[in-house]
Amino acid sequence: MRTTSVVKPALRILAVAGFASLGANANPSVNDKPNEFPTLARVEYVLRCMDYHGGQVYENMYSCVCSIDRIATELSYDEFVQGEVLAQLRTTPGERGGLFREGGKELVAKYLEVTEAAEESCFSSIDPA
Amino acid sequence: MKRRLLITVGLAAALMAPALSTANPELMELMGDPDNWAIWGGDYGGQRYSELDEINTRNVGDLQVAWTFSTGVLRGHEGGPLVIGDTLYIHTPFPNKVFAINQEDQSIIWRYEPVQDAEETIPVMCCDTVARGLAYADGKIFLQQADTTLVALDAKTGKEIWKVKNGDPKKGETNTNAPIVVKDKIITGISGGEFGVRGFVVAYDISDGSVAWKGYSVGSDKDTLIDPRTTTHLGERVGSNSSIKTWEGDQWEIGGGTTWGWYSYDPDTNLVYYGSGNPGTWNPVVRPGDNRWSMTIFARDLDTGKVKWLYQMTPHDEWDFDGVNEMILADLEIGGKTRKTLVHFDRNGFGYTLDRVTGELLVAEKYDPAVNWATHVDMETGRPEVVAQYSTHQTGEDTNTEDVCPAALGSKDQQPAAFSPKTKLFYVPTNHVCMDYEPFEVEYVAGQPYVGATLSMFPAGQVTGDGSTNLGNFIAWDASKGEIAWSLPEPFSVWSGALATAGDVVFYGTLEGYLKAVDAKTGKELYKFKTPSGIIGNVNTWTYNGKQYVGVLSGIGGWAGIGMAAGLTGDTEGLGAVGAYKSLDKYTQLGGVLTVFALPD
Repeated sequence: MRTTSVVKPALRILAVAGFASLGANANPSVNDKPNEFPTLARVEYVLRCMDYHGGQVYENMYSCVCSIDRIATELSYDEFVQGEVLAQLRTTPGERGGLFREGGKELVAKYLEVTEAAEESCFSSIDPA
Repeated sequence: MKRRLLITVGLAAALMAPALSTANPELMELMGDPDNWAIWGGDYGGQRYSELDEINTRNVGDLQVAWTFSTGVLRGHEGGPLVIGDTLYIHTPFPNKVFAINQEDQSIIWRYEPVQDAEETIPVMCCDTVARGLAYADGKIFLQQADTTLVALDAKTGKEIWKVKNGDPKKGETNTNAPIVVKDKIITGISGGEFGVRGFVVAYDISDGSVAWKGYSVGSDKDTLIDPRTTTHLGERVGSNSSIKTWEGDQWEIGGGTTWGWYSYDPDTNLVYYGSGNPGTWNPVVRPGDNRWSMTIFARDLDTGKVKWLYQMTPHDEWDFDGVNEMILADLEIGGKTRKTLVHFDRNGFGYTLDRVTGELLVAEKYDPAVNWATHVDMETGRPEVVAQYSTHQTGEDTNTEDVCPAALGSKDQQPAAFSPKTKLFYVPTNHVCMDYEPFEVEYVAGQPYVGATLSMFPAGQVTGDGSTNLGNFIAWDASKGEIAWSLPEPFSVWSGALATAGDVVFYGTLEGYLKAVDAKTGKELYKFKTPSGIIGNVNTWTYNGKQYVGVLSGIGGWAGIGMAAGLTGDTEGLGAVGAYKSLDKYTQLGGVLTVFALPD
């Protein structure tokens, strides 16, 4: 019930980008990245992701695990953490948010592309709504 | 109405007079005992230092999360918990809930949620709907609500004892500050500098909320409580109507100088210290003059409100460098003598050390080397030497002044620094950000933004050309010399208040959500833990049952995406059931989170 009102339109727009990411995923150098995402980050992502998609059911768990695994091969943990901060703070009203709307544009674009593409591909067979 | 108020004040003053010297020994005692965290700064001097040393440089790496508490409120969570004995008090951003929590089992003893007009209040809050915390005294918890209502609650039950209206959101007046209690008075201020509000500080009687005194930042001597014969600026008498003379016509009436920062107090001088914010309209071209006393450090007598001394840091502001950041009172060795000092890290990028008794300026140096809008501060006149290229006034209306450092949010915003009497160093969370600034013409309408400038901000490394991209630093500062002792680059601006302890550990939070502990002497990172979201709250410490705890609020503004959801849902059964909150599981509420750390048993 709390699904997708924010993310879904963006997902549709980024469907093309999703294919680009999948392409990158086939690159062995990307897959060889060390598993540097802490357990805490993975568990937290999966729990929040399941909640976002409607609750703790197996379909959601499989898709959310798929999603974080994919993200972890494409972003360093610092990129993931910092991209998350930028994506959130740039929507803060006023001068504070201004700082994040101007700065870090490349990182936040990469973060959004990777996370949305991961979601898109991992939830492809399941309609979260 | 006004007349009745005055009579009440007179009566209260007469009744209160004999009690003055003995009022509030309780609060003094609570602050003197490091088992509590009884005021925002840990003490009246705002040092944010704790004598506790169970957690120290050797063992801080073993810290674990002891418990967490979700506030159920989204948006930025500033300030930190108060701890009085066994009870912990925590507040939230708008709607400004208050929770009293029993530390034994982390159950909610009481919860208070004021009724506020969101549609009237939120749109006139410039910078997220934050609140910086509570004050305790006399068995009461004091909450300064966003809609300017100041309410006194029974600390045991949460029941309202009295409340007063401190301003009017329809005119753009709101509140975000934490009040402080001294003797029989509670001191609070006002926000709304972006809406042409004229700033003031007011003292209410803690027993009934009657006004004891009110002093404006700008206006006549009568309004500002400036005595032309005794009030000084850097040792010189200011003379009559020192504020009004520095404004064109009646512009002072919407002159800004709001007072949304932190307040400190020194029992020896009996002075309250705080800073005033930007002058009305950001566009400097339309308000010639020094615009006194915006951007000024005030020292007011607690009993009368009379201004003893002032120091205007940024005359005729052209960059929105509000002077409201905390005033830290410490005794420092300067030139071979121990001085009673006030140390202040201003938004304008200068770290000031003043004699807090006389207002003499002792040190004024840049605490971020990137600062470029002024070359230095003239120690005779106290005036910054402004660089023409970065003067948004000199470059003019509708001209983009580029690469000004720092940006409008300053080299440091409100998040308070800490001071360790052991190392004699100040630990300062900073911004490392520059801006392009373009003033434009604007008409004043009450309750409408009165900004008149557009700006864009970026990492200072783009201006200094050193290739760095970090938006912040966490620094240690020697305020006797005006020098950086060490500096830790942070990817983001550091918007969390710092804590120093006798265990030689300094704590602060980051926008990624890390609570970090570093060595007070060297800055070496000893511990970090990722809390549920970004930290803009202050780190506080206390004991419960003889064990040291460290706590901080996380929660930042903006829309949460999927990876950054506001919180985990646990079992949500019963959530929202009226009257059932006492039995609610402590993990079930979404929103900002208080994370409490301790060493393993």
